[in-house]
Amino acid sequence: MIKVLLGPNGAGKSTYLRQLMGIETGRINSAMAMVFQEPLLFDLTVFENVALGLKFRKDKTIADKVENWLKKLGIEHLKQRRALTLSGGEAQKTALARALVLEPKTLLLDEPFANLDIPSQLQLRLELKTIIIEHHIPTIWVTHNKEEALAIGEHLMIMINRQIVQEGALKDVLQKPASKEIALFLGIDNIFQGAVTQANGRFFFKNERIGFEVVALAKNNTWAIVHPEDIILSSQPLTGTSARNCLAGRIQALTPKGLTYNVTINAGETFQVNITRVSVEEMGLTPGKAIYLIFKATAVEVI
Amino acid sequence: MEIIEIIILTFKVSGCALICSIVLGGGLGFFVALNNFTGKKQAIAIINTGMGLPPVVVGLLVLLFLWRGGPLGFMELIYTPIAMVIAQIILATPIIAGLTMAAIQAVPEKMKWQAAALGARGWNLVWLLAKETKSSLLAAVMAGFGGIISEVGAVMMVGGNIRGQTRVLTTSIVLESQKGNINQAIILGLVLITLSFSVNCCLTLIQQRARK
Repeated sequence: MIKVLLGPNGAGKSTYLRQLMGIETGRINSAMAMVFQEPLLFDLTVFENVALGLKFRKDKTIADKVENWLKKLGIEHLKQRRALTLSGGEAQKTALARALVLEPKTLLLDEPFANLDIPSQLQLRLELKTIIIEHHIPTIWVTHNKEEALAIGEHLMIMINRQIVQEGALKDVLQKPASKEIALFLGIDNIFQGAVTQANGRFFFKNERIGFEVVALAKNNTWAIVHPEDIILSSQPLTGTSARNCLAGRIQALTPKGLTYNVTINAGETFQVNITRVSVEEMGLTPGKAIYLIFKATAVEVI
Repeated sequence: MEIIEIIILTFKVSGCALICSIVLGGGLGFFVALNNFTGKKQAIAIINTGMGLPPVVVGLLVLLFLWRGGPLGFMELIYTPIAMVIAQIILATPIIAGLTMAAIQAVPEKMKWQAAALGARGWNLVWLLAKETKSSLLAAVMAGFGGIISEVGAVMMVGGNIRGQTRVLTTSIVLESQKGNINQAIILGLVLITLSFSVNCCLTLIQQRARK
């Protein structure tokens, strides 16, 4: 299983990995192997670099294991090359082989491709992910990039200020961030700061620009999230539905996003709404047009 | 021929002193660079000071210790080649230790993390770092050798420049020039330079091959 450790720069992700590895204390956990952001190859041949860990462990079948992993990573032809003459991608593959050859119980990856160009990043990420899944290697993969996190794994750990503040299935974390810091870091759309007030057994989220009904306990200084795909757009105010909220607004911009459109609407606060291309065409949506936003009280996340 | 005897003795004394200094200085340099202990800063300061020890002061100290009435006088080492080797070791060890320490400390911390993560410890770690810094370590050896081969003050004091026993190239150059045998002194000087040049040439070749 791949656990993705996601957090902003300076959150302490690398330090956390070094702690797991035992580098910080000097008591190395030999069941783990780690790949850093830079290849950190020694001035030896590719083969010798990959063999280092096994050599230190006095392994009996060094040559076979090394050859095997060089082959799997497609760098067998480089084995006699001096490591310092490799390209960035080749060097990082060598670093990966050097960790994988140890057959670690846990593989620690500290943004292993961050220094490569984007095409190499994408390709190597895919290759490595395939290898990890094929060989069932438990992995902790650090990244500060949300898109990369989505591409890598199904299990997400969020680290902010040296603490793992949320951990769980990727979908759950994106849907239900545990705090506003997490939501802001994840770049979640339609997140508003305000307060929840209670009246006649109903709850309302309010700030000076907007107000809508929610289902949550009263809290001061709280945050509300309405996911862009949970909002219905309507040309007229809609009645006779179970949706509790109908806000009037005006379209500011339409941004195509694959098969869907991102509609930016000002309704006191700025909303992002995700709808299909067909809806945009049929409703004749253009910037400047007045529009109603409809969403359920139960669709609002209050954190 | 007396000059052959002098060259051989120079080689023996310098070679012994160099080997001992490499072992002691290299070991000390690695130890200080790789370990954290209280007084590390002071140790580094002492080694760095040692890199610039005035040879005559070292000669004086060794003389005081080895003198017949001195604390180590019973060993009867004064005015022997061994006394000269001891003085040269004291001079060259800090040079090699200081440069080794600097070379190992200059290895980026991330490289050391990587080495640790791979399980490099003890002699394995020393081997890996020595390979990584081999040019700098050879430069340390060359600096140590340079100090030893050109040294005159200390060996003169503790060796006594005794003909056939403790006379080496540097001391005989001093002697011959004082006696007014300038031609003899120049020849000895050329021999010394040639000797020093050829040893450093070999070391440089090894160093530059390592860089390739």
